[in-house]
Amino acid sequence: MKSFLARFSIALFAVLVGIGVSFVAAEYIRDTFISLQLNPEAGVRWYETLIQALQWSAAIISGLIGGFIYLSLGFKTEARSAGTALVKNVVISQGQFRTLYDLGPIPYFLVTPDGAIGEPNKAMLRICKGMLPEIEGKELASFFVPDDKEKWKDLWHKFGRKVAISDQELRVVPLTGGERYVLLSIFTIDSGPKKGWGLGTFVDITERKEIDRAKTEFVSLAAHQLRTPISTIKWYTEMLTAEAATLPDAQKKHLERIQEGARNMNELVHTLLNVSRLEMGTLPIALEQTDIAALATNILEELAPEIQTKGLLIKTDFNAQSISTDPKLLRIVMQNLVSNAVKYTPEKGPVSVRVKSSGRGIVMEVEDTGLGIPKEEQPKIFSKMYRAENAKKMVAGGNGLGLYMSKAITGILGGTISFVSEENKGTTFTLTVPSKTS
Amino acid sequence: MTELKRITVIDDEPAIREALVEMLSGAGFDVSSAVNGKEGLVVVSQQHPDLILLDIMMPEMNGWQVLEALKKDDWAKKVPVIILTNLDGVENVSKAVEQEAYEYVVKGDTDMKDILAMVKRRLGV
Repeated sequence: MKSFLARFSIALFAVLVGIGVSFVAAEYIRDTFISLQLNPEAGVRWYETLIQALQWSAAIISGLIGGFIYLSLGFKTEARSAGTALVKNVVISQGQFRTLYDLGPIPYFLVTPDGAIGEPNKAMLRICKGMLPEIEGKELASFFVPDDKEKWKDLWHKFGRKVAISDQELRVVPLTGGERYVLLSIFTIDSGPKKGWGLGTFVDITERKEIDRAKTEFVSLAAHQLRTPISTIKWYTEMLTAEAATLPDAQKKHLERIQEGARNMNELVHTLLNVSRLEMGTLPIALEQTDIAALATNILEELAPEIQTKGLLIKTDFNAQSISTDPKLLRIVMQNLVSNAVKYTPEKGPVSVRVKSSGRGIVMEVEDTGLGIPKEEQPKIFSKMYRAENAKKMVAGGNGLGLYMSKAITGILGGTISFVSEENKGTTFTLTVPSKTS
Repeated sequence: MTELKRITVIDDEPAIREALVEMLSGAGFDVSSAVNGKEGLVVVSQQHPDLILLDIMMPEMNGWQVLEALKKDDWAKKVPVIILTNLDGVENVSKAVEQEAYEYVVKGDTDMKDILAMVKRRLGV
């Protein structure tokens, strides 16, 4: 508003000056005409009209000039104040950005075209355990452990060909020694004086790594401690059995029971170990090209004794490609579905196992003619430790972990597991598993 | 009479160690044993076995350290090692492969007769 008054006064002043000048000029012209003595009357009146016209047009022109001055001064002021505000904002946000960069918890740094560290922030100095002059200008590669240097070289080479580095796990050695696990990302700077440089970040994941390692170690140790006495029972029973030729049949049977108990306990340790690893997210996945038909055949061979004892009629239809998956994990799921079908189908009943290709994966169907799952219990059968009432009556053993684990593992492998069941008629489980690339 | 093949069993768990010794002696091998890794190295240097059965989790010196020590000895590095443990996991198996162990056996999953078959196969008897 201040500027409005100023602009208006300048414009008004310009108009008044213009009118004043035109009146003075008119007076001068009239005097000149009079002094020229060009009368008669009519002539004088003609000059008077001319002078009045001149005065009016001078006033109008002055007004226009005043208006123009008013507006143009206004535009300039507005432009100037908008510019000032913009500059102010830029300065503020630059300051804020700078503070974030300098004091943020994540290590930031620039990477020069020859791979040296530029402008490391405080967090970067903290992770490298050095002062600014010790870190700045130092080659980034010099901070990685020798084992990771090849990986870094490869990443840096790709970065040179405009491939951004994103969340790559590397180990950093601080100046004071030790080792930190980080996720490294470097993005290219596209404009400005540092065009072509990199903007790098480290995310410190050392603690996460340590927790994972502690969890894995704990579970392995617990399993180890449980298995040692199981091995002792198993082996001594085996030795006793070998010497048992002279024992009465009843005692031989007792030895067999001990053997079976030890075997089941060992199985349970395996299962619990897998469930713990699954739940803690430390179950390692090792992908390899897997022949699904061979896997299914092998599982059936393993179950052959039980199938023969019950006199089950097994129908197979294996027509699947090999896929990339984790055969050990997939085996747990397939084994579970087939052994459930065998377990819950009454003697002499038929069981079908079908495997076929589907897109880039496989579909496996296991159809039994067993108990079936009661409708009201169907939503719960994938829950941990859940066993359907009718299943408990038929087979006393069973830990209720099989389907829970199968569903979780299938999820990890990127597949699905579902079923259709009718009580007293049977259940068909359908397992789909894609070919996994990573 | 041909000389008996020699086997050294290194395991800290008495019941396991004694079962192995008994089974292997019974099968006609000359068996020596040690209760931890450190003692195991001494026994190996004295007995010059044809095969070593090695546990992993042991006091004093664990199985991995024994493997490394064996590798440094010109003679001992040629002796085949079967790792017999109750530790499982991909990471341990791959470590054993890296360390050039002949076999990796999880005790709880394996019957004695299978261990005996493996030993006989390796020693060619």
